[in-house]
Amino acid sequence: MNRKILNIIKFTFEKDIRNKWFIVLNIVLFLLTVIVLNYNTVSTILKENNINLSKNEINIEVKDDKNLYYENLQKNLENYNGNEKINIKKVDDISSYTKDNIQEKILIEVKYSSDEIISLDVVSKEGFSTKIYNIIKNTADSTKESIIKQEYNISDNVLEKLKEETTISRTTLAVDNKDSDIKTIMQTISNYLILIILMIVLSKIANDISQEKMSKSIEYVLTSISSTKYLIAKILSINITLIIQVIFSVVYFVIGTLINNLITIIYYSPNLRLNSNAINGISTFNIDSSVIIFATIVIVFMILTVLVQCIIQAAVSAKTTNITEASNSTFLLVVINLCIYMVASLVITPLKVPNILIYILSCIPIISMYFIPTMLLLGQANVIQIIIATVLLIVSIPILFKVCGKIFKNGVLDYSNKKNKKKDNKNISKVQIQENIIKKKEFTRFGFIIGMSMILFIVCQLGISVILTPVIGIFNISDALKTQILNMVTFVLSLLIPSLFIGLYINNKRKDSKEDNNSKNKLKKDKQINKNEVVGIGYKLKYVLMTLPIVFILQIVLNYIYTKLGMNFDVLETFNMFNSSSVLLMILFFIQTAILPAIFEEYFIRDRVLNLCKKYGNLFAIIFSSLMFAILHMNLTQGIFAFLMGIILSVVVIKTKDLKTSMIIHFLNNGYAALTMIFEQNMYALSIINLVYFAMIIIGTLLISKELLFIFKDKKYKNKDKDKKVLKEKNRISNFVYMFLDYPFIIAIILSIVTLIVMEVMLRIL
Amino acid sequence: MLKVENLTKTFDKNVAVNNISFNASKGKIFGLLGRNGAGKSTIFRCMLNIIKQDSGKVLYNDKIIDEKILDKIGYLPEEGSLISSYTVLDQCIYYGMLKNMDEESIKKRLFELTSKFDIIEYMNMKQKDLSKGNRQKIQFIVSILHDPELLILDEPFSGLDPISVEQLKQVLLELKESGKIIVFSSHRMDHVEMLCEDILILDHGMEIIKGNIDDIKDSYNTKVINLVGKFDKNDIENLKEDKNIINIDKKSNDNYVLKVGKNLDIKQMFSTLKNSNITNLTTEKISLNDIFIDKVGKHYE
Repeated sequence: MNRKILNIIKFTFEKDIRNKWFIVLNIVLFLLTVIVLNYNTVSTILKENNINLSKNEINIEVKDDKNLYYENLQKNLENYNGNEKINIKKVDDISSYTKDNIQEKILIEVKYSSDEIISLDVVSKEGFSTKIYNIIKNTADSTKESIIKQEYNISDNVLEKLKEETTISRTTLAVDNKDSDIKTIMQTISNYLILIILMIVLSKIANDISQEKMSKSIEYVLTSISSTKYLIAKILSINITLIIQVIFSVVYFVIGTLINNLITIIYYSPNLRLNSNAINGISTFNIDSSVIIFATIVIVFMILTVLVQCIIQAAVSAKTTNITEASNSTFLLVVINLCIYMVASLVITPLKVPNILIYILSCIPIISMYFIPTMLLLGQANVIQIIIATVLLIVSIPILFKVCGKIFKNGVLDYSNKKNKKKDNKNISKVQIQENIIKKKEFTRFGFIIGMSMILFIVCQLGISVILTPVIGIFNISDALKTQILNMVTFVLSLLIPSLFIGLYINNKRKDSKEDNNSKNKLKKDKQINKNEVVGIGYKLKYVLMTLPIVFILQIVLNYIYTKLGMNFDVLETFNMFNSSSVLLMILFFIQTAILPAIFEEYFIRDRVLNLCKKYGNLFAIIFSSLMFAILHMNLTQGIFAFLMGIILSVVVIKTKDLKTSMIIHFLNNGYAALTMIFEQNMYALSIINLVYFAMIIIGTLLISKELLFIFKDKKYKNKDKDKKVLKEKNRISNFVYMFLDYPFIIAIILSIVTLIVMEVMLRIL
Repeated sequence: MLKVENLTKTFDKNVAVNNISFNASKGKIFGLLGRNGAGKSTIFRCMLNIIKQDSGKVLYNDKIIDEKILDKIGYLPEEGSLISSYTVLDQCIYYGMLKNMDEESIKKRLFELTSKFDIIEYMNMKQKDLSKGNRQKIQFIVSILHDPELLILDEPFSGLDPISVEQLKQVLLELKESGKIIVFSSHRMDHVEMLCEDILILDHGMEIIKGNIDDIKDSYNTKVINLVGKFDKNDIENLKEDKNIINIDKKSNDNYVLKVGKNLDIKQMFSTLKNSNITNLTTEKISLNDIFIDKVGKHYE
């Protein structure tokens, strides 16, 4: 072997082993091994010394009307050979004892009945030994038997036969029964062992390489030795460190057992011969040759697999930029291993004959580590398969060294930085390129924020009710009220928490945007004055009224479509609790359906999310916030309506720049639906509500028709403005795909889809 | 003899080094000059096989550089390139072993070199506890630990105080005397001017000037004249009309520095200065600094 490789190995593992943390770890390990190995001996010795000093007394008091059980128990307890002294007494009443005056007593109340024949109530302050418990139980059983025998005139023989268990003798022909126990143990141990080894070795490699990369010392190294050779040296030295650690552990074990023997000799009799079974115990096993073959195969696979993964880890960690990232990559690799292990234990079962796919899979490096020992154990593996797997593993090592050596070199020297891919486009200036990159990053950040808030929302929806149910249970109120309050609290919190989270990201910018808004407002005001429009409350109120007929028409249309498709359409979820016409409940229902959504949903969607999206253009903001609004409803049929409603509401908010308008619209819409449900029976109230609502709709329709006239007049003027805006917005949004790169966002999407499906299915079933 | 022929390297269509060739020979110091990001370090990395060039050759004694030759090369990378948790001694043993040295000779050489730089007391301190200048010295020591035949130094003077600069210069001159090939890069012209025989000025990976430092200065059309005496104001105004005088720099009332072209008529200059009393006149060659600013600046425009 190359001398440089040897030098590096020597230097690195020496450095590792003489590292102070390694020494601390080993001292702790040493002490632990010695203590664990000697604990039992020392404690028994101490016990034997103290045994006469403190003999516990246990008093058993039995309340037994027929005296049958008491006599049996007395008989059985005579044979008791525990450390404690037991006194048994018969009493008439045991109910007077409480937690404070029971002391060291066990109270037994025996009840006789025709159904159960005999049953016991056993009361004690603390738990007592299983020995005593077994006696109590066995006595009960035997008493029961004797009662049955007397009652039904059954002889002993018949009773014995009835009690006998049916024997099932089971043999699996494919499994080599003889040594399968040792093999099974070895197989499970090897699986856990490799995971532990991988965790230790991979994290060490990741750590070392990222440290060397950060300190740039790798440049020195690579001017003296090729990257592949360096990798070999690094990996070997770390594995040698591990092997040395194992050797040390064995040494501690031996020392521990020796000390154990020494103590026994000194304590019991100096003349006793040294009991060396603990050390020689392993060699006294009668090991079959098939077990040895199995063990060697497992060990060979283990070593090779660890090597392969070390190489991969080295290449991966060279690509990372700091230690945190490097340790994350280790975690990833270990998780992949765990997954393969799980798959292996699922796929390979003794009941199934493996198909070709499993055979092919089992030959692939890394996977083979988990597949082959299991298959071997079940007798499903054949020689050719094992040979192919081994050869593939061995061949893969030099190839991986070559490939990963290159990746390692590129990564560790950081020269293959991802520079802008859009280089060919020379029209874009340097500033624009950088701006684009920042925009992409912003979008992934945006995805992170949205994704996190969605996750928070869904988790709160599910979690808060679970947490609060026991809390609300304390109050002495009716069930309907409980669920009502629970729903309200969950609703408010699950919207408030994500909106606070988003608030973290927009609070700082708000002041600036307000200033912006002010200046824009002035411009707008000028325009509006030109158009003879009333600014302020009247202007906002006009928008509110104008949306009402649109929403109304939307509801009718959707209702028609849904009934055609055979689906239910409800603006609100239906509640069946109106049988109990309590006034409080109705008020709460109204608050929950009309007021709370109007405030909190609007705050979350139309204020937080909309503001967050605004910088990417109004169109994007409107569509995206409406989508979020639809997802909030967790319901397909409601979701579609919510999406369309969301578009209308966000347009209104952007137009009027006031959250209150959309709150009022939301309130009116939900409130109308809620009121019609509340006053379902009361025709008088219902007609008033309808009257008011339709009056508003008519006013709104009139306003719309008036506005339409204006729009036709100003058409030319408006178009010019719009074209420019649309262009700008297109430019901004084109990168929105990058949003999907952030993993909280992906998780949020998966989570919401799954919840949606579950909700839908639950609705169907209920 | 080190030969670099038509070296070209691009990173993702971004040309870092463009068709560079130069020779460095025994007993001479070669200087590579350029602004930050001009491609100096990239050239070194190509020379050392750390990265692979797109085209061109690097030959040492007419052989392509491989691992055996690499052992004869000492390389000083940019600053901060040592493992911070190792002590100086460990560091040197590690890198010395990588150059096939044995531990005893490493220790011996380390004592020798640290005493030369007056840092023998830092030998058992960790790299991270040292000051920036001392770290740079350690790095230099590591690079010459194995007594290399070819020495490649990337910004060797960065972070050093004036006395340390002198020490390093002294060591470099000693190495030069003993017949080593030394190539180093810098953006400090004064260091290059004092040490190098041959230079190459780079900008954006392109060769701007190459050759012997004195030849370059000679071929350059401007000179510097330093005048001391009592001057008449009108004379100075008249001097400005002379086309051959490029620049007049007033240092003080009785000291003017003129930057003049090659075709300057000294007689005519004196006749213009007839009302002034000149006590001292010295001429200097133009400094490398001026050449650099002139050439690289032009390249930018």
